[in-house]
Amino acid sequence: MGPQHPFTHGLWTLKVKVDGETIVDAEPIIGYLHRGFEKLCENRNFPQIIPICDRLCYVASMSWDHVYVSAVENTFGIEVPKRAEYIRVIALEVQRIASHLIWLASFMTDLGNLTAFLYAMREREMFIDLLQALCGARMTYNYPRIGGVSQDMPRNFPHQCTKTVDFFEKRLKEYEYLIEESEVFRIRTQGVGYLRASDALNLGVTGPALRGSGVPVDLRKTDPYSAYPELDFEVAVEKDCDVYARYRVRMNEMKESCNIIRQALKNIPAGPVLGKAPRHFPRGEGYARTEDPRGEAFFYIQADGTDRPYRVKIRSPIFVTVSAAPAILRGYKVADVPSIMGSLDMCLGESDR
Amino acid sequence: MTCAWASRTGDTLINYLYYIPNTIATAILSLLHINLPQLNYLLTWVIASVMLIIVIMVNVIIFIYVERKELGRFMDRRGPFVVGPAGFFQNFADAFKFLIKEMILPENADALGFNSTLVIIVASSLMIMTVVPQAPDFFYTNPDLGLLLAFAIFAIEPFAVVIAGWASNNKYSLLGGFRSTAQMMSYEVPMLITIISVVILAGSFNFSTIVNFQSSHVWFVIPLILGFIVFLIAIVAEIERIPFDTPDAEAELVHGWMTEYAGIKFALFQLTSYVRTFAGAAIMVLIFLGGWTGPFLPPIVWFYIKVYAVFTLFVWLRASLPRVRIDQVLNIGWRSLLPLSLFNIVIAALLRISGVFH
Amino acid sequence: MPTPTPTIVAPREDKDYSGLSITGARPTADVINDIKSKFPDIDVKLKRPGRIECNKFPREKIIEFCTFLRDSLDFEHATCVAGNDLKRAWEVIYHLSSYRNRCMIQIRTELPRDDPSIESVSRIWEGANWHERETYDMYGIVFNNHPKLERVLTPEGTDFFPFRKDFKLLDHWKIDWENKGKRPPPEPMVSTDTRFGDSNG
Repeated sequence: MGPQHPFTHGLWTLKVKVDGETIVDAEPIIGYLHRGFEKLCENRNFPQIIPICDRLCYVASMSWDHVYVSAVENTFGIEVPKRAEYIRVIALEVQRIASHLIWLASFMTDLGNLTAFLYAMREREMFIDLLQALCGARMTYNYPRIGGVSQDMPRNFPHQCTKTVDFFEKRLKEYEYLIEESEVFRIRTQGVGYLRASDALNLGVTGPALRGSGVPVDLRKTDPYSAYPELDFEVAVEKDCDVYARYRVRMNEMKESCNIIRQALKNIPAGPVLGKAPRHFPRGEGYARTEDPRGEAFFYIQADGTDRPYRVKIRSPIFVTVSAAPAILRGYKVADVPSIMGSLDMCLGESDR
Repeated sequence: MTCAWASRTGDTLINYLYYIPNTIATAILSLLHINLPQLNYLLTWVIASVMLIIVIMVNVIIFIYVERKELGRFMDRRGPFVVGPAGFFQNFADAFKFLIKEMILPENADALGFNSTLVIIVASSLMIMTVVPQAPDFFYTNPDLGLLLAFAIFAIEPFAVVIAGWASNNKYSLLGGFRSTAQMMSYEVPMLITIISVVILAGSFNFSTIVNFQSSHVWFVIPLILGFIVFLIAIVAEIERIPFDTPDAEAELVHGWMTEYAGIKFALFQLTSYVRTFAGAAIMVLIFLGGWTGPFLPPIVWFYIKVYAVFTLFVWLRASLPRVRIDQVLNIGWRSLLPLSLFNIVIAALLRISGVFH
Repeated sequence: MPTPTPTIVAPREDKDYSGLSITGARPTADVINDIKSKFPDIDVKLKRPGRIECNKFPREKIIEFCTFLRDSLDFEHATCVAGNDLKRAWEVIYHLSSYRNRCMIQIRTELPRDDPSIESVSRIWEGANWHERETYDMYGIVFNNHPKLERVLTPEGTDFFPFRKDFKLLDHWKIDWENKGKRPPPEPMVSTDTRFGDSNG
């Protein structure tokens, strides 16, 4: 299946060996979108890398900007003002909701329900508007800076944000009514795509897929970064290990994100939003890992004293999750492929780099 | 003249689908000064067929338009609105686009099977409506075994579909063809059993008799509500619409058995699926919803009101449900619908024996 | 409604992971002490809480060390395996994380320039499989006993390793910053790229 196939959201191939309609073996093939991203980073200076990080995954650009920026801050020990951290958290959570909504849209299209696709896209529009109010761009934000964020949030932003979040929580109930109450949706997802917790850990699966297997690992909680230690939220975990559990995890995460946004808006301190960044970068190495909407995002940077990094390594959550796909797919039907792969939330921009 | 489509139920009514073609044929022949009854017969037949096809096609075009608009409303968008008044001519634009596209025959495809199935599928689907009356004064034929005949013609398509899937020489097409055949065959069984229950009550396979019986007693949807539900599910599976559109599930099999068909061939297949939808809705209206009977308005208007209501139900299903997996489709067909339809027969028989319907 | 049953049922019995990362976390200093008592000659130090560093790791011991980390110290997750070209040597950098102890270890291993090979850890963590493939793909570092060491991002049959420092980029795209942004004259690409086949047939 692929690279030109309706179920591949992006360009990749899944070689499927079938016996009748049952999958015997599967082999994902990626690399159609390989841009030599890490080499590209080695040839640009540190601030110049931020805009290209947007292009890693255009569905969750803000998260990738943030992980890069925090890797640089960890490497050189740059202090970030408190207010900037809070604004980052708000932007990240808005981005997380937007990304999960895109996932919901594409997942429901894979299952054949176009209505949920349009509903989810409609709601995503509101969150994209929020991000636009924050940084002026709708997709590739280029918002975080080394040592802070590029600009303070607009004056009416907290009001707009609260209104959107309140409205969205009502809408989320509507979705649950549309999607979960349907018997057809449940027989398509429950008991499908079983991934044991120990297998998930061993295969390096992270993010909602891991939490859907009953492992309560959320880097926002277990390895806190930014302003997350000061916020109170819960980790969404489901124990069923199937597609339905991953769906539930993402839905609950959206609710939690609304919660986090509200808290962050309430607790946000006053102050500057951009700290002091050095003009000359010393030697050093460092890394940062964050909870992307799709899993564990990781940036490793080696600096050799020039204005450009010597080595950049990006760990994309989807790159590893794709490699785990055959283990999940084996034994299910061909018709389950969109359902299972959809539940993993593919994004090829970040996995091919 | 004794001919197949002479009015059978009400002798006082004129069958327009016979009367108009016959008038035209007679006029043409008299203008040409030809006096051959056989030629008159043939010409009437041809003109009546063309009229029926026009009626079906106009309905199909309105169907597609209605579906797009209704689906748009369900999804909180506007549907087509650019081409023509309220976007009505969008379908014509699409059809024209398909017409000017290249007709591709895949290199390794079997040309005979590939092309002949197109003819079989389109023709058999159009044929269904020849035995389905639309009103007492508007029908093509009205044979005694009309109901059975309609479903016999309905059942031709699966064979052609599996040939089409095989001839395309494509993995997706083949899987789609197999799925389509398996699904249609397994859903025909509960559907036909449900029909039997209707026949038990009405005492006839003739559509007009069934409708007249309903108008003198009660719509069969009330005593046979179970059968109605079974029939609804089965007919949705039979015409391959969401949630039972597994044969052309675009998420896993690109477009099922239609994958390799391009241009006007693809357009014809899409049209055919709507023709079958029309036929399915019409049969459902006739055997469960009282057919063309209704107060004040002429029968044909009532018939179409009901058909479009049923079609809206189909669209509603499509808008709110995801797709069912193929093995689950078969499970539902054999394990749930079959016992229910058998139970429905028992209900019908009990009603008949107890003398509620006579 | 019949519930779907997959034909091959995955083994459902499993350890309980519901307490993972919530309870039973050990201080990072304890973890370091454990490592030091088992491997006294390895340079392990604490960078900041939750971050362990281990430089100049001998490549022969990697399997032994990683097995110890996974089995005794609950490093369940291989975050990343990265290659690097230090010009004088090759380098493989492992980032392993423990959810239970909430810490992360960074292991830097240097390989000699003329023999870029190391034992594969993908038998210990299957998640490292594709990272090792990618490192081979980009740097040509060979991982012994890897289940399937093939190209993953570049097409099959590519005969160069693009992330090596001696790999020439397309020079007419590179702007010469020292020379006030003037572009140097274009040069032909140095590496041989056979991806698109031989034009002579």
